[in-house]
Amino acid sequence: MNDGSADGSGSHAEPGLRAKAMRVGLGRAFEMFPDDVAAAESAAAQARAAMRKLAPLCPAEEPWPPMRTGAAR
Amino acid sequence: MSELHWLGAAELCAAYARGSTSPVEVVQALLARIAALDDKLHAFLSVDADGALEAARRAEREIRAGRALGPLHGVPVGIKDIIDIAGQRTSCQSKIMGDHVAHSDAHVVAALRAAGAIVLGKLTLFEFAMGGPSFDLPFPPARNPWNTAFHCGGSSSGSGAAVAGGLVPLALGTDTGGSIRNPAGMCGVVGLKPTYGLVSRRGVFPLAFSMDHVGPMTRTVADAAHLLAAIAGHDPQDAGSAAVAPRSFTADLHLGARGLRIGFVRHFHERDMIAAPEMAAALDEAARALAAEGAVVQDVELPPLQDFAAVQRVISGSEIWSVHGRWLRDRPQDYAANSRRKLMPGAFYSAADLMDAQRLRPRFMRAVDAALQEVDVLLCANSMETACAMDDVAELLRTHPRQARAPFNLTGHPALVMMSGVSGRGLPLSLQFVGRAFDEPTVLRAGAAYERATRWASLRPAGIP
Repeated sequence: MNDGSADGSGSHAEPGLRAKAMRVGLGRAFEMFPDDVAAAESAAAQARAAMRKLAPLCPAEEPWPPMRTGAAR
Repeated sequence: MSELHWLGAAELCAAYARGSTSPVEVVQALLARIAALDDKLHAFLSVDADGALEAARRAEREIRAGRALGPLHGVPVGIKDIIDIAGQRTSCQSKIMGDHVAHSDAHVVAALRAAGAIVLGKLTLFEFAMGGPSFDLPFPPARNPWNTAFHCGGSSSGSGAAVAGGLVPLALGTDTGGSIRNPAGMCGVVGLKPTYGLVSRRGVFPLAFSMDHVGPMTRTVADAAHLLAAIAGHDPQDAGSAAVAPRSFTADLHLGARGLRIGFVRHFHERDMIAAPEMAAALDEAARALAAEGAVVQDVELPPLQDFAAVQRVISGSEIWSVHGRWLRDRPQDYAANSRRKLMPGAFYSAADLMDAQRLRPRFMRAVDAALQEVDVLLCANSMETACAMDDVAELLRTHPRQARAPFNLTGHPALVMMSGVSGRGLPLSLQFVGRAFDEPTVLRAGAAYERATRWASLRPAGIP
């Protein structure tokens, strides 16, 4: 499903992806499987973009799961 | 009597009470069937024949002495190999886990043993409950009993194949983005993702903490209810476990559809993602069948599938990365290729992305809650397509995201998938019922009513004897 050359030069990986991969600790994965890293980065970018199209958050909208002191045990 | 391997829990319980068969006979019959068929299906990663026979002999003695524990006593169950069984390997279908052996039973396995169920073995899955049907792992992927050239869905692929193939009547699966319901639909069995927090996840290898669920996979709705009854309940050692009052999951099964208000979420498969015509026609037919049984069916609107999916992906991806990040950084070569692609996106989300997604999440929970104020249960698509060939990588990639399951991992609502017909290629079609949080009894009631109104639960896969 992947596999460009060992340094990624034969893959479809976009220029600059190496730097992104290094930043998140995926340098080794990028060297070995550049197309897998590219696919993962692309999937994340698509999900992030789709999420940003949703109606903007109001300042008071709280996250879920909520913080509940002492309720976890 | 029917062949032993096709009997469900309710039928086995009655047969044991009559003395027309015994747990030992049933376990022996299933072991023989596994020996005959599992080279083709690859549903089991390991079979504990000695342990199962010993438990069967114990159950037989107890039942004959008049000490039957209930509907699961002496009934074999298979366990997805991401769930711990004391003294056995939990591989998660991955090289990463090596020879990790569990030191104790998962809460759900202990609960099944307490109910008298017989643990038959560990079932195949997609790697870490996330990858796909992978051929670059030491374990072969499970194959669909309806046509062994086709995939089973996943990630609880072995659970679906084993139950559909008559290798075991009951199985446990897990569901983080649809992993019980996908194989249930592809293999033509019943799969229930319970409400988040109803069933303990203790002893289950995590995928995404706030979306992981454990639940039943069976051939009938009644068996799903019995299995759920055995494993549901508060576990103070699971941080996500809910302290809710126990309810009967079987008491409403006989009530039928009369008076049930069903909201049909048509836009999931008619507007958001266009389903294959056969799948859409089966959904329409199901709505008509339920109306004919006395249900009141009306269309309802939820947010678009794509909106659910965007938020679900950011949260699950981030949670997955927190589990797998260190291994993906240090030993990416030890994962299957399609696992790497699905497990790594979380590396690229920022803290702000995750926080935004977590703050958006309640909007979707409230939207589903609001729809369920107007109706008792929702009817919607499960998959937009049937299974495709195992080796058709392009079709696997195209069809995998075409589903309506992940919304209810995001919101936590209970969701039941069952068969709704057979495609022109002889593969199962499926549908999904969704209920209010902790209202599994109504979801199961709807499923049981649909099951009685149709013939799908009586069909057996054509791909095996």
